[in-house]
Amino acid sequence: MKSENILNDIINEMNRMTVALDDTEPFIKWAVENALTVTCCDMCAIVLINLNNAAISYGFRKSCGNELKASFKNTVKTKLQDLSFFDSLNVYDLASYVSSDDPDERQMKDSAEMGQFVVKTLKHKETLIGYCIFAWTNGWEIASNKADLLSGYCDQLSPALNTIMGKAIIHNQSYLLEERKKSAEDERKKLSVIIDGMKEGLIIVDENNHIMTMNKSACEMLEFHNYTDARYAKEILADVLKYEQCADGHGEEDILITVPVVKTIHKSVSPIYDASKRMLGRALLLTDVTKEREFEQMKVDFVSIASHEFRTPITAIKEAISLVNEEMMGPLNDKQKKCLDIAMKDTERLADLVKDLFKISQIESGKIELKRSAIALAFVIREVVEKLRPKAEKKNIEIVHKIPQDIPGVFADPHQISSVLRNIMDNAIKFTPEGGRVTLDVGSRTLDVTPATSHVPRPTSHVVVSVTDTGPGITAEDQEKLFHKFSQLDSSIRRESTGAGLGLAIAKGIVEMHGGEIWIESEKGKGAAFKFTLPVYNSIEPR
Amino acid sequence: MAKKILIVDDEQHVVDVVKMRLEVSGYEVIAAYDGQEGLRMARDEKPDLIILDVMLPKIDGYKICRMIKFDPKYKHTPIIMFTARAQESDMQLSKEVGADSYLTKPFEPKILMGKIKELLGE
Repeated sequence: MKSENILNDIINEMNRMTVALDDTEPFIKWAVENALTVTCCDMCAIVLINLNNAAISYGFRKSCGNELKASFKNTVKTKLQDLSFFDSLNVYDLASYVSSDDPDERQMKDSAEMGQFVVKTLKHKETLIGYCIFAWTNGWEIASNKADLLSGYCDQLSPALNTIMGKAIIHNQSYLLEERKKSAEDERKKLSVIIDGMKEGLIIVDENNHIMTMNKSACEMLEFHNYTDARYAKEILADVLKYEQCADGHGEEDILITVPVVKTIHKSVSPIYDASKRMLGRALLLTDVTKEREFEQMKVDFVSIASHEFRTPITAIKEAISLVNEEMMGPLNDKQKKCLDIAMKDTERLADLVKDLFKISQIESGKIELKRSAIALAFVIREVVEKLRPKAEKKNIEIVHKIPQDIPGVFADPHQISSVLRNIMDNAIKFTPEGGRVTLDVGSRTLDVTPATSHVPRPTSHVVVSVTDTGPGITAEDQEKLFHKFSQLDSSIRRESTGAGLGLAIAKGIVEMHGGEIWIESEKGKGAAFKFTLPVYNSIEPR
Repeated sequence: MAKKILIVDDEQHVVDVVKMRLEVSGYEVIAAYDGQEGLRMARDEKPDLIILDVMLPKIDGYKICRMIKFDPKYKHTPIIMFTARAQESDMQLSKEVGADSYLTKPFEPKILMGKIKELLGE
């Protein structure tokens, strides 16, 4: 066969392959095997260069010995380092192919050594793709009629390799893209299963308050599943989506749904931010709290009714004891009087407890209405101090009060604040040992407060009232508990005190209703300071 | 002649003890145990002062107070509202229906006696 015809056949085959394949590996295998056949060389190598990486695929005659193969591989690698633009080429073997038979029936001897070595550069439009290297064993060389064939073969190989490699890259990338899409889809499906399986309702809105996601529970909670009136949905959603933003974008609220059934849904709003802290929207978590709220109401009602029902018998008991104790029913001996004193004291304690229970239930249910006005704190303080002075004097406790002339008026309910102060002072006297001291201080401080009606914090002045005693002090752990209902500390203190542990819970409730704070500063054995703040009158008034 | 005080309260024991104190203090005491009886006695017995419970069977205390205070014939009779409820709104309501004073249960005997003396001008 003429060399042109051979080349033509090969070119046709090569074209078919470049169309059919999108992977380099089968193409290179084909190219290596053909190089052996076309040029009748003993060994060949196709090197693909990508930056400083060189991937080598070898082809050997069937009768090539291992020693010869190793020697060829070494020679190729040495040659590549010489050819490289880089200081060091990162060379690695990609594959080794052996032809199925010897192309020209020429068997190689075991003693054969490397002979002629031809290197052809593979280029596509001035870009180096790689090299094609051909070698013959000693005593053989390229046949003169095969030299053109070799050049022609290499010229055709370059564009074909370029196309195949390009296709392989695209194929790889689209495969990766497909994989990524699939995993994103899987992720999305997983998330959607989780979101839809949630017991809580979840609504996600974008920064314009438009709904992006709403899960099954949310639909059920808002009764969308069996109540499909569009107007109803619109009204309910308006209620659900409206929100009063706090400084940090969080918010909580109860929503009352009346049709088709009455229920209370608790809404908790959290902002969603991207990595650059830009707000993308908000997540609204909905919980059906109908049962909880009903229970809370029942509790409040029960306490309210019970405390009312207790009052009447206590009234009769107290009055009956008073009548006898005041000797209106005839003279008493000392023992009788002592008995009645005890009965009286505990009846009063019972009456106080009922009063406190009623008050805490009122605070908890938000039924107390504050009668706030600008009040002079100095007046309230003096009144409370005078009322408690006899009690302090009985224990030889000195009450020191430092009230600066210029303390601003506070915006508060005088009756309630007086009760808070009385409670704190009363505790201080109760827990201060004989001969101790209770100090009352008033100062002021400025806070950055964000009002519920605005997004912008503005400075609010607060007056700080502190009551410091020389009592046993309170550990940090106990300070936490102290403001909880029915909390009393260890039994040694309990013996002396008679309260039900509601006083400070009430005080906390009242101070917080005023927009103030209450806290304790103390160390065990070093006395305690109870402090609370009240907003200054001016800072509450609209500017 | 001893001043006459009417107590209207459905709680027998409360009536008993208050009655005892008032009698020892030298008053004549009459009692009614429901709203209807209370209103009748307020009109017929012409008491000098009425101690009136809020929650009463038949007619509640606020209604009785209003009926007495808006009747020119009886409106001069001082009334002390007597309640086990301690809400601000109750105190407010007492004022609105024209009560002269207000006392929560359980009460301090000294305060009750002080109010009675004051209202009777003693």
